[in-house]
Amino acid sequence: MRILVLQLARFGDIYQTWPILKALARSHPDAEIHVLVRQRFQAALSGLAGVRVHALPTADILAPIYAAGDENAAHGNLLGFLGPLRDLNFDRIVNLSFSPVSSYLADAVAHARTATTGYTRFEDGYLRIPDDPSAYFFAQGEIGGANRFHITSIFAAVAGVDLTPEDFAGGERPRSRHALIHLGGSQRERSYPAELWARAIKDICRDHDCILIGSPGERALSETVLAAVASPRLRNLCGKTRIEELPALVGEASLLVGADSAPAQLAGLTGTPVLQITSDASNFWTTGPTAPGSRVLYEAELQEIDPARIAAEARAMLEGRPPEGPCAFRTERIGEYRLHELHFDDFSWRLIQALYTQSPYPETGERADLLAFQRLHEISGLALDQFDGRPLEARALGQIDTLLNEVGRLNPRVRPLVQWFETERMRLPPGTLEETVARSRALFTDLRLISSVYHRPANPEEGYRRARELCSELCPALREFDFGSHEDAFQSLVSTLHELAAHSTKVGGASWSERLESLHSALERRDFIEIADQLEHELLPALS
Amino acid sequence: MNDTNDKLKIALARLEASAQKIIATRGYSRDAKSLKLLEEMVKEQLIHANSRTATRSIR
Repeated sequence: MRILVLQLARFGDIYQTWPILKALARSHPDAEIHVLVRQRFQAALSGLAGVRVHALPTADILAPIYAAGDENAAHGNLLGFLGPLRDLNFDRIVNLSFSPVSSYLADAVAHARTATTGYTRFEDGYLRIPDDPSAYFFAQGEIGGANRFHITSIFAAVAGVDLTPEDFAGGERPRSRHALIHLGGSQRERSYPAELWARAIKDICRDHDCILIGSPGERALSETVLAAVASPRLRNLCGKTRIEELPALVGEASLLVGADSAPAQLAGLTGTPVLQITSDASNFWTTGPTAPGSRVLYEAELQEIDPARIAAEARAMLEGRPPEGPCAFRTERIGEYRLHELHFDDFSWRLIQALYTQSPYPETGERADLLAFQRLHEISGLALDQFDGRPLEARALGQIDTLLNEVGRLNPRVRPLVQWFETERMRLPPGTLEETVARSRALFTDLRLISSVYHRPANPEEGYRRARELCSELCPALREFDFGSHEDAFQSLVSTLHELAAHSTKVGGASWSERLESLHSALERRDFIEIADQLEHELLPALS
Repeated sequence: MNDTNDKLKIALARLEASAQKIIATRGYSRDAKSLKLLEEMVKEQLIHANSRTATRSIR
């Protein structure tokens, strides 16, 4: 058996892929395991035994375009790269990079009999997500999302392997007592300011030796911090080491302090505890450190983390003491973080668990949540109407998609349900119109059933009164173009109208769907005067 | 930088046209697959996404 693992992301994700490669080799002892990474990040596989490494030479392939705008020669280069890879006749392809390029690459290298998991393409070229774990990540894996499954576990699920602690092992070394500090982050918003770093490090250096590490691009930052700390206990290796030397550096340290970046991911392989500082710019549940004993300090903005907290927690970790203050921490490599004096709203996470793992649906008494689920219930009903007894209106279905996404945007707590639904729709395979209608109808039925868990049927008289009140409230505001501060009232009105539509076919002389579509159309054009006119001259008289 | 970007944009437009033509006449064939792949590789360069990570575009 021959298996190809695609990992076209950067250093950090390649380090997170090591355990999966080891688990594949363990569970398929007779298989040939191949891995394809970008040439630029190939060094992250240095030291990994038993795996055949292929590098995607992007720069070489595209060189003719850069030199002479010659895309035909670039295409020739690409075919020259793909040919030998395809000739290896892989039995399985496991694509662990969730990107368009990787989906086309997986498809281009596969044969008809190749079993692919991870992103690939349908026979008509559209994105195909054949496995549920990849679909889960497509739906719920975004920054700011509610996912709490770690990326390594998701990778393992895509590859179809169960991880053991041994799959992470192999990089351990005798430790010395010092802390490594990585000042930079993989992105600007994941970087902590130099003056705050200096205050934290000065405090740690009172009792402990520290070493700064980082890329050549972070050297200026490190020199600023070095000068501000001015301690003989602080050394600066920033920009002076190669990526291949990083495993030894990280493995010999007792602690790594830094933001969400490649060294923190590498520490999972060397078993080095990490003190990670993190914010809403990344999701520590997904990409946080995996070494047992690691801790995570969180604030919405990174610079809101007090340097004294970093120093106190780093000292506690180096001295083997329990957490000093609010943090997330892990005692095992596999599984969720635990929280110490740290609290997050977990409604959306529990909703995700209900959607994907058959857990009970979480309860909510929040009016905004109930309203959002009610809207989803109504919208799915509206969609199901489109499938019944009339020619299919593609435009109407497009508007239904817009409405669904709008509900998720206005109330992020229910977004997991919208994203689950949209992803499952996207996964529908090519087929005849009848097949597509049947599959779509089944999905909308699922959405209606799920949202009905939270659906509260309204009293129509109360609904009419509420709708009149909202129309009267909205009209003067809309005529002053003040939509922003009345957006909730508008959504509430639309929701109430949908509810009323369930009790009668018409309002005044027009059908409910015409009224609602007319309102929606005016909203799309941001024509607030038109909306006010409709409310005042058409809806209010019809509702009275 | 602008010259480079211009070359990439021109190459991308040609690749898109070629891929569309092939898909329209021969379907999503092997040639179409490799052209679409090259097209996406060029797009990555234009949005500086060669360093694209595992997650969706916002990560």
